[in-house]
Amino acid sequence: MSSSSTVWWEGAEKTRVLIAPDSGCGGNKPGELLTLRHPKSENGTCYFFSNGMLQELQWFKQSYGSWLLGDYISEDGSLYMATPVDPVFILLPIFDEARMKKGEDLGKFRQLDEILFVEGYPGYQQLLPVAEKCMDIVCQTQEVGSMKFYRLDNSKVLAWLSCKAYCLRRTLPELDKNYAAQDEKQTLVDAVSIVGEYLRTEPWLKLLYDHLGLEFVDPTMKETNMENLSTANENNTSSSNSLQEKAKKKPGKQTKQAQVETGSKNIRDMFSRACKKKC
Amino acid sequence: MLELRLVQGSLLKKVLESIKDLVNDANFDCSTTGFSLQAMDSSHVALVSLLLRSEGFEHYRCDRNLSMGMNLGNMSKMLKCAGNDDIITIKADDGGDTVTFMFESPTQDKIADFEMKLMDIDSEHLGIPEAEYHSIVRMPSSEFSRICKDLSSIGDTVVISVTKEGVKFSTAGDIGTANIVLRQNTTVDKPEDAIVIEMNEPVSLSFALRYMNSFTKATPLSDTVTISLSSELPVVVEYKVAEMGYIRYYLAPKIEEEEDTNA
Repeated sequence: MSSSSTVWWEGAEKTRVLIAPDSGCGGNKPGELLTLRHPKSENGTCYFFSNGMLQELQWFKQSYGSWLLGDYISEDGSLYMATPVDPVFILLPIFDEARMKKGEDLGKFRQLDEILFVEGYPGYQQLLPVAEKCMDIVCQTQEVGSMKFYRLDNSKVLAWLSCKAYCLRRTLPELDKNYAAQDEKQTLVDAVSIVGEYLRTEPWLKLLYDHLGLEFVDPTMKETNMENLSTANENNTSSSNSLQEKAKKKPGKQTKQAQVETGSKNIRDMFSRACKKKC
Repeated sequence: MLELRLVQGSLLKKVLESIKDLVNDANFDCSTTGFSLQAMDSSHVALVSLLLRSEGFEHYRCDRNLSMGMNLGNMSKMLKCAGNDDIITIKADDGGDTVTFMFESPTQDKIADFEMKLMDIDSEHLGIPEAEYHSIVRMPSSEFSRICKDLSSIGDTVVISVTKEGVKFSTAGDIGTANIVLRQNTTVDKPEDAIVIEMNEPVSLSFALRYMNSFTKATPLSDTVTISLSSELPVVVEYKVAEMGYIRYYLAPKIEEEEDTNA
């Protein structure tokens, strides 16, 4: 078998392997990759949109490996997984900007097609039907004839975020008994930090901490699952798969997650290098 | 069946206070050698290694090697309920899912027992190579604690340099810079007040001060602290525990601006 990167059809650059939920589309097109702004980092990030369901991508890569696909070898041995993501997280910053809130003034009501027009990111316009279905929950709306206007409402956003946090707090112990050893408050703190991965620190994450009566913990110091967060080169072209790398997070077993300590080396790496030298 | 009886229970109380802020959950490993723990903090920059030798316990029974996963915050809450003079006994059944801490007052008129659920913790034990360190500094632990605290009011990073002049701790921040130099001094009234510097090779490394301030929580355990430095290795900050063991903190240095990548 040839070991060169195999191209399945003309014009494609490389093959990759992606696992995604069966959207039951049958003969419909298999879905598309959209480049949207990540709700936390604001970097261009690839999302998978299929049959009305928006999904985020996770990228797992071992140092050495390739895929054997039937008779072909795919040089890139990475595994990409698409998992559903709540579109409200993704659209929240867009709606926040669109209302143009200044201080006490609550901002403007606007129509969806205006709100979803984001300079440099045409992908948002594909999400119009999604926005219609889900953004009511965090917006005030006004209807004038057949036109519907939306304005993001902070108290609704906080209610929704709190609900997310409480749901997570209820679910985490079902995933692993270790959470039984932990008090509820700590589980809530963990739940908020998971939710916080999809939120800008200012204003939303801080507001959420306040709202729940928790002390704000700087998320760059808290456990995030991004020790190896070398954000892959962010290109805005949808053909190049620009992805955000996430280490697999297992909230159950207490696998040690590395966090973003600014600037210190990794002690595990130092010891393995030192041991290799000796052996 | 595990049963460990420690007459100087305060040692275990101090040990927990020294590690609970650095590590949330960890496995305590019991074998015939002793009661030990090795765990990294969540950022994988620091590692703590604890050993309490079996000889230091008044009674040490460990039928088979056992690893007990504990939430250190919870364990600390329980140990805080022990008096400083209490005798502490740790008990566990093989294959059980709880551990019991028993506290007896020295006059034997009060006995308390606290039972805690164990956790399943995946831990990897890192191989820590035996090494000849470039420089080793032994100094009063209170002095080291004071230095780390003082410097952290000025900066976030401490540069520790050892030359033939002595050991220098430096930092820089928004308001300015600070340097503290200690010279070798062995002519002191009490041996624990001595500053002993063994320099095989000069060395200079930077570390995040917030970890050092975590390590100095172990100051109540020992009058002296030993700091071992070597260019390609994490620093070791060691506090001896009475006659029965040690707590060693390992800390990875800061990444240098121009790093040459041939490890």
